[in-house]
Amino acid sequence: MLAESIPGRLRPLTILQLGWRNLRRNRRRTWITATTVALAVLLVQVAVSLLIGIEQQSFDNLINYQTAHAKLYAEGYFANRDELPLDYTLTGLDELQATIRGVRGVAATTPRLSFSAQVSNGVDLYACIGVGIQVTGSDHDVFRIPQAVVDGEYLKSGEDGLLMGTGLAELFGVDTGDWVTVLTKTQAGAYEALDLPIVGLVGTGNPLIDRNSFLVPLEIAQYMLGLEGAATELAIRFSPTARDDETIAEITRAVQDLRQLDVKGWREMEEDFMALVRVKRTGQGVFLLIFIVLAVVGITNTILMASFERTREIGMMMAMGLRGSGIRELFLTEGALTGLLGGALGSLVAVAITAYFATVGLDLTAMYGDMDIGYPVKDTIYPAVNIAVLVASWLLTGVLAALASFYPAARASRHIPVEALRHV
Amino acid sequence: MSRKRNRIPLLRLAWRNTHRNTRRTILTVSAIAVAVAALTFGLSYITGILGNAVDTYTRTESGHVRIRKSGYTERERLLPVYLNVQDLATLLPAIRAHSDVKEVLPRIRSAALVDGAGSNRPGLLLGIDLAHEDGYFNPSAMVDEGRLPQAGRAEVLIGRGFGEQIGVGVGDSVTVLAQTAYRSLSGLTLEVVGLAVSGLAHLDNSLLVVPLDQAQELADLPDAATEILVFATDVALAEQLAQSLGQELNPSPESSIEVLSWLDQSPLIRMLNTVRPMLGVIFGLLLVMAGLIIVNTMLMTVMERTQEFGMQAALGMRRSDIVALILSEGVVIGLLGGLIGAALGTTVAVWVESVGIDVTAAMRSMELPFQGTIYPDWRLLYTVSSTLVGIVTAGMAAVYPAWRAVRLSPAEALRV
Amino acid sequence: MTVARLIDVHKTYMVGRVRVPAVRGVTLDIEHGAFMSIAGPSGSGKTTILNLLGALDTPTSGTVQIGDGTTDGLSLKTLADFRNTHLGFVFQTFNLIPVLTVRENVDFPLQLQGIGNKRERNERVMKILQEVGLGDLVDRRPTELSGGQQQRVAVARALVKGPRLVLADEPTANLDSETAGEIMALMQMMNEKHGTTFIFSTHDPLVMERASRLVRLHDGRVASDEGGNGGRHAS
Repeated sequence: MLAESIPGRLRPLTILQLGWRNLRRNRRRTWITATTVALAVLLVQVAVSLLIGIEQQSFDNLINYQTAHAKLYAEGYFANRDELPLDYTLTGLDELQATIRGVRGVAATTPRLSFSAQVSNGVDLYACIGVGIQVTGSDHDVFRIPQAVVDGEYLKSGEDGLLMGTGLAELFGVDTGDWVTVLTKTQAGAYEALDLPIVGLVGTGNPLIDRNSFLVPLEIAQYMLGLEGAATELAIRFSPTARDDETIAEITRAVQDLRQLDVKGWREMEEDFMALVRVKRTGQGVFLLIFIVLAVVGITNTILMASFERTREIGMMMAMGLRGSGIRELFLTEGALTGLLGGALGSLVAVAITAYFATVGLDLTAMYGDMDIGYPVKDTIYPAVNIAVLVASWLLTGVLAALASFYPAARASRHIPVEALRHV
Repeated sequence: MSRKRNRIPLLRLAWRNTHRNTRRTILTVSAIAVAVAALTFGLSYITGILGNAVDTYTRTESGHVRIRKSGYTERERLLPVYLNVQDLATLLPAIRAHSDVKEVLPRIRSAALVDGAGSNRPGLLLGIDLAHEDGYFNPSAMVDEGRLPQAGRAEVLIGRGFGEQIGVGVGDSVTVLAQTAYRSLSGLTLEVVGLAVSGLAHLDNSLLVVPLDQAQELADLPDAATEILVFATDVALAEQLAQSLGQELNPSPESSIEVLSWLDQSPLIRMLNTVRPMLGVIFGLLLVMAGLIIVNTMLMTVMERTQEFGMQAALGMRRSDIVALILSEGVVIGLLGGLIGAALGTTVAVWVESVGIDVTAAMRSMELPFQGTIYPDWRLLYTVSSTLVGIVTAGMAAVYPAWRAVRLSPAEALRV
Repeated sequence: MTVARLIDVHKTYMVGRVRVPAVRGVTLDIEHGAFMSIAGPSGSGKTTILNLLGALDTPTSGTVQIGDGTTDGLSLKTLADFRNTHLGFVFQTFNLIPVLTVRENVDFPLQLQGIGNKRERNERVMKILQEVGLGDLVDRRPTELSGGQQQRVAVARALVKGPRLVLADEPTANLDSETAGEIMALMQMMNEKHGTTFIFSTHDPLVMERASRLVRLHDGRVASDEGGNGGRHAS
């Protein structure tokens, strides 16, 4: 019997050892290839961590200052929310809040009353968004406004005063302590004017708030609009462990018997922004892909060259009984190791760069000046270093490099031993 | 003793050498091809985006140069009508007299409270010289339904989205309440003669276009405007034009007039312009990677041919000839890759230019002067320069292998 | 007992578009324990015969029997396993794996045989290396050895798995005559000690002298077959 079933294979450890030693055989080539891989990895990682940093920060910003995790509206409000209508309000707030708080995954709720208003410093009149917030009760449980007060202090319940966005204050040329006139139109259509002192300035990095909004105690907003005991929305913060979609579904279930209410998650509220995020991701993905393609070409080329050089060696190994699959494994391993080497190199530099910016922050103001870049972020971005992601992408580089080696490895494995041995 | 040089047909020899190992050559060439294709497309794409933004921004907002009353820029968001430029009758001809000036357009921007069918909303009132705005604000291209207003008549073209919000259509009338130059309020009833779609979300949801004379009457600005847009014969002249106009209109140090080129008016446009150097870095990296791949391959071919070079040297071929031969091989690889990459990049750029990339959804959340579809702007120059850059990269990548090849003496090389 | 047998074997190569007959009807019986030399000028078919016997190649027509079976119609994978089990090779250019040490090079075929026990492998490797006289150099790399030492490693590598047949293609061609003699003596000793059958191709008259059987090839045919029916060991 000729075909005895004895495995013509090498142990994985031997393959690894051979691959590693073969890499050291032509160090210059290995380093050049690893450098191309490292460049690609470096660019991809820095870009991704920066972009993820910006994205994450802008999501946090939206949740902390604008949308919360979810909001509860009276039916009809959401479709017309851009106009800040007063025709669809929530009442019976205490009872509603109690219901929502009982839902699993909900950490806190607070009512808010948003309205359109004209603000005047005595010279100019400017249309802005006013927001009535429950100062003593709950607003700071849901939103992070107190942390964004950059000048003066947070509102006090029962005291007249407003918090103004930094950009808006700059436009009017006013400061903490100055008085402004707020002009509103009540739901009944009557005009109402109220002089209020500025108790503080808020700088959140969110252009909608900083440039266009002011905050007043809920009671004052209700008084100005003639909407005692009402709010336009109930903002909800989820507990950190809660899953967004599940919690939203739970809330929807909890309120469906009560009244005609809409529950909207923050992603749904900010659909346009999410669309912008998606387009940016796609565009950046295409560019990063080009780098990955080049790195793949680099590895394929190197492994091909190595297999050319070692044709006789391949023939000899095959003569001794190593199967084609064993030859393939050898070159795949070599490719993967090159990828891992380059990946480690690129990741190290990427981590150093990211860590540097994570401590000092990447100052967007210095790069672009003060403006609305369409992302609700603070001027300084702190990119995140995520070890799990780092290790995963490093391993992925190895897998990708092995894939890149597949063609030359398969070619090498198809050698006919006699011809390979005759090769010079 | 000097003999005639350059009898070696370098490029032909180099071309044949690339055939020694076709697979390896294909892979090496593909590295350059990818880089050149990315370069060609990237340049077209960025030019398309910047062109779109700059074009839209200059036409609808800033002009190449914008002339306004001092202090206007700081209060721009308030649209202060009381800050205006007077005496257009003498100012406009004076600006027109400039050699580089193509068009001079006075505009009035004003915040207005618009009353439609029972509801009122704030809007942006724009008074323009309708007869001369074609190709600039381009109102006739925006008319989606109805027609343009006519000078001298109380007519208005409103954004379709805005019309829907206040519930009016063509044939209805709206009442506009706006601030005058003396900060009093004044009202005017206008007939809606057309609905406009500009593709710019922030305009479509707030815009009212009226003849300049109507806006002047409403704002009490006879022979005046809030801004004068100046368009140069070429956008590249904007900076220079702004400077000379500034000196001319503002002889005294206590200037009463701001003259700003488009580039100085928007941080956003400035940011878009920083994309270019950033892209330069990225393309540089791309070329370095492609170059390294070539270095690697050529090092191997050179090592393989050590004996051959030794033999050639023994036969009297000079070192410089061998160097030239290897550099030529790099150039041939660059040429092949460059041509393939250029063809690929150009095809993709031209194709995408013909279909466009729809980013309308993404643009809704940004108040950008940006059309909802991106069209790359391919130019032959980009293809040619990308190809050249590819060839030069490949040639430079061949320098180190060439040096390695001639490092050994003929005797040493033959012994290897 | 016959270790291998060629029955009317023909082998034709295509060089470009030209058919080149390398072996034209060779019939040979190789007895167990033979120490056989195949001689002949370049192009006479020596290497082809060795490749056919080594299951590295299959004949255009005719039958190659090794042990109990034939190489007819076997897949590349099965041929590889077959070589692994039954055959050892020694090459003209030594062909050691340059990145492996002496010990690891000799261990390589044992690993391929799927012997998992490291101690067992190591014992066999050390034993054979002692026998070929390289007990002190086990941790050197091939580049640190002389040509003769490298060829000793190659012999050890061929013998370590106890093959029925060792094929050596011009094993002394790259060595000086003194070293060549030592390598031949080593192979002869192994042939006598273990009874392993050796077949080697050569130009070298000194090498031919040592053979128990000498087959001369000319133009792909057997021109003469001296030394008769068995190896030195068997006779």
